[in-house]
Amino acid sequence: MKKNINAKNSPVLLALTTAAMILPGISKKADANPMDQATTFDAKHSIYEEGALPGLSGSSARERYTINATQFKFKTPVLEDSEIGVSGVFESMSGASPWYVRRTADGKLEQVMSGATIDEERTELGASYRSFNKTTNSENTLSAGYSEENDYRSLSFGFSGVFYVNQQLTTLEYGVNTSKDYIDASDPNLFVPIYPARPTNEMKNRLGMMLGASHIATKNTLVSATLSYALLDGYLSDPYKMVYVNNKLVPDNRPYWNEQFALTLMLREFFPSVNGALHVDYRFYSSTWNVDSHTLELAWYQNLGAGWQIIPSIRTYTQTQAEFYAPVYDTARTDGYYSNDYRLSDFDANSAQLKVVKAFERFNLSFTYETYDSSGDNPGLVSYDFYSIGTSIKF
Amino acid sequence: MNRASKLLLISLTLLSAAACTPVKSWERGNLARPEMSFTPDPLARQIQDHIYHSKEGSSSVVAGSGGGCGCN
Repeated sequence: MKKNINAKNSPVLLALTTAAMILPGISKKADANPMDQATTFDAKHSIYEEGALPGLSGSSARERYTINATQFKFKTPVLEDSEIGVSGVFESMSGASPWYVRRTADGKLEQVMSGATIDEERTELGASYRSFNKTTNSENTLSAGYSEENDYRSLSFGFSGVFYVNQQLTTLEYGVNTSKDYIDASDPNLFVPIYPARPTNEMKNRLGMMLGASHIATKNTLVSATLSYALLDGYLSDPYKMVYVNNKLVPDNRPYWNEQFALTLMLREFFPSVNGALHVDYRFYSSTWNVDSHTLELAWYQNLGAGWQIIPSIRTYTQTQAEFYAPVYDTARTDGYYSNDYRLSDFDANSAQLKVVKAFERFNLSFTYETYDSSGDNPGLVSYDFYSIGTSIKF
Repeated sequence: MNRASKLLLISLTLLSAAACTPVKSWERGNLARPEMSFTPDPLARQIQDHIYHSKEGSSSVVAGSGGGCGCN
């Protein structure tokens, strides 16, 4: 399962761009509230390239994923106090994916990849309606989304609200969302009877909620804290992965229930003397599968004059392994849960990014490069390079 | 005290610590700059979060509407 799009979708983007150019004339009367109400169109094209796994040999040697992703987002006021938005993500992916981990004759762990190059696409469409209430000085947003790929469909809804209080020094936010996912693995009987059939007609439900607040601390400082919770139930395993248990390959099998908690803290500090801003984001995450993680992101926004801006940033991430995870299992577990997925392993990851933005009167252009590397005991852990070019147009 | 209660307590403590001298409306010019936004580039945040959450164990807890697997 994956995601993506491309050039073949350019007619869609062309149509939306045309619509975006026409709509401002219709919406000129609708410019009162919310305060940032405006007609905007944003688009971005990104390329994600995973590095080849080290140490692969023989038939298991395969290139990892390359993903092309095109995104757009358009929003415009429709009434004096409300706006609508539409968005899309189109992705195309090719490459091979981790299949299972095995122990070699000399006792080392080796990642075995899927036996063939996979070519897939994903399309995601979203719509939102946001309204501002002058009386209560608050906003409400309704959103819906649909994502489809050949083996995975997801339907989601969200509702969120914002209250501006304390002379607009403080903003209180809340939100709930839910999604229902349908999983139908490709080629379910490909390896039958050697291995069990892949699952089809599986479902996954998700219910999430968040509570947050942001505050103007000084004339150059903004702070924010957000608590969030999500409950997932249903098929939470990977339909394609296999696991060695007692020298026999069995399907990846995870609990049908997972509760997730997160605390996100953010700081924005502007430094007038150097015309730059510091961003500090920290996130603590914990789940009932015992995966705990810490994420720290630091970014510096340096204005250079003539509309140029340069943004270097770094990100560091660390997580603990799921309680039922192991690269290979020498003995069977009493609960029957098995996964050697590198995403559930104990690992650290670091990335560095550089973004350059050039602003013009009504639009800007941006280019981003990121390099990401992870390390741990699982041989399937990824490294990747990420490139992105984007524009934001304000009508 | 369970995990959620601890997180809530930490959040409220940090927020109350930040509530110092009120900033007047006419002093908020720098705060309105685009680079002071919590999410200056929503599309970049969307695609990068999607990548992180499909390559790491910490899936997005509240992502609003939208989804897809992005496994592999």
